Amino acid sequence: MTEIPNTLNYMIAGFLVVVVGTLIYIGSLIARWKKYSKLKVELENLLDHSKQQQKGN
Amino acid sequence: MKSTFQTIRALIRKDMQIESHTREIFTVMLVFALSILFILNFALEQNVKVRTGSAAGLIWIILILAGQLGLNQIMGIEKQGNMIEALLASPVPRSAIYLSKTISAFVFMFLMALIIHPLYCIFYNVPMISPDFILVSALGCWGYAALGVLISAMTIQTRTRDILLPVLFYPLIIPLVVTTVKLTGSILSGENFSSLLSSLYQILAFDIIFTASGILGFELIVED
Amino acid sequence: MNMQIPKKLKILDWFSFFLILFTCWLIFYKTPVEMNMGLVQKIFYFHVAYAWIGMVSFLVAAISAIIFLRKGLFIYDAVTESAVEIGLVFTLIAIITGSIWARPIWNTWWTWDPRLTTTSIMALIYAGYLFLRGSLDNPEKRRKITSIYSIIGCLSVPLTFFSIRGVRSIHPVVFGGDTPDFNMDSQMLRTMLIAIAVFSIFYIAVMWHRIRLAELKEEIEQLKLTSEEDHD
Repeated sequence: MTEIPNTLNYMIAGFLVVVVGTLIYIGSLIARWKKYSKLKVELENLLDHSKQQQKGN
Repeated sequence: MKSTFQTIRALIRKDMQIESHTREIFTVMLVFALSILFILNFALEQNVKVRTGSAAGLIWIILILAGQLGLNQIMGIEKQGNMIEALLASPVPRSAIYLSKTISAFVFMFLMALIIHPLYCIFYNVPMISPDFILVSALGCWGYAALGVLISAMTIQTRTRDILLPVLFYPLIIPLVVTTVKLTGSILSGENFSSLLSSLYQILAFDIIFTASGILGFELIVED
Repeated sequence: MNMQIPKKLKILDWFSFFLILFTCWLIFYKTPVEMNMGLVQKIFYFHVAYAWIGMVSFLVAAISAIIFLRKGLFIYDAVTESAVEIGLVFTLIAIITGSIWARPIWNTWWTWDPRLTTTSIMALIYAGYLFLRGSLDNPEKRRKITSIYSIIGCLSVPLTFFSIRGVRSIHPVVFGGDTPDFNMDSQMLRTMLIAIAVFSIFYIAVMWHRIRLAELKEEIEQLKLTSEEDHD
């Protein structure tokens, strides 16, 4: 029987690519979600504010 | 039907007549192609085998790069002075506009192919060619023009304009280029033409697919 | 739009998370080591699943682009955008893992094998989609043009594959090949199928999140428009 080649390091590298790649993408999703929800709240506040001003006038 | 042909003819004549401009474009394309041809010299000078073996690939690389300048200009003409809006407001079918643009682009490309091909053979001392290459170049150039006009109709509307065209266009045109280069290479190496028919049909199929998607897609792209 | 993550999606998230853990356990402890390649072959389960999803995702993008062009509903464009982006991420990971696998087995990081080349060109086409999307300002135009581009891209990918096929491939043929390139026993096959199924569920979860993000972006664009109108 032939010996099984030792390719453990390559396996670890590949596994890391899968995990890290996926996590980075999920992280970017979360970051964008946070950024846009903040922006949305700010915009809504701005709109409310300008409406109140119009009423005041 | 007849009127559609007439419209297309009129539109092509219009493109060719703006044509002090068009001649300018063609000259620029040609000079650009020639300068690539000369630059290649530095890579190829030493090696006769490489020059001959990759002749087909190199000729098409030159054509693709230079053709892109023409594509940008052909749609660019319309963008200048908002002529496209006038054109779209007129009762001309969109597919006629698309076909006329494609034919203009095709004429440019094909003329270039007719000039560059023998020049390459002369400069790099590649054995002269059979007339079969004319048919292959025509089919290749048509596919290039058909897809190229469609993509440049997209990119002309972007903020970054011309820069995006090669990025979007080159990966899409790869199947056509691969087959055309293969076929041109076989012709250059003197293979029997009848054995190459299947590749020829393949190019023909690509041409049909690209033209059909152009006719269908163009309308949606230029519409407001 | 509700800013809370819907309960169903939360359940899906955790469900796919535990399924992935289970699959990893299956891959590393319950599937035999391949005799000729050694441990590196275990990447294969991820590689195939990611490549598969990458391809399916681009198909999803093209189909929803067609539906968008017919119906004009915003949501289908959001699906296309999400599918392209996620498909690109999965494809890139598949290409890199494939390369790592190829290094010890074929003794090279890269070969111009038809499948490898086609996949990379597919990635380029869809990277182009994202560029195109980013540089069109008018939302109506953007949706139409990018939809058409993704349909043409999806047409071009199989054409590319057929045009560069013919050169003999060294890529292992897993399904439908005459000569299996490595011995896949029934346990390996089972693990591979499970991995594909599990990552597909994960894909659905990620897609859902990404579509919600697209909806949020759309809402912000609307808000911006109304605020500009107020100023005028």
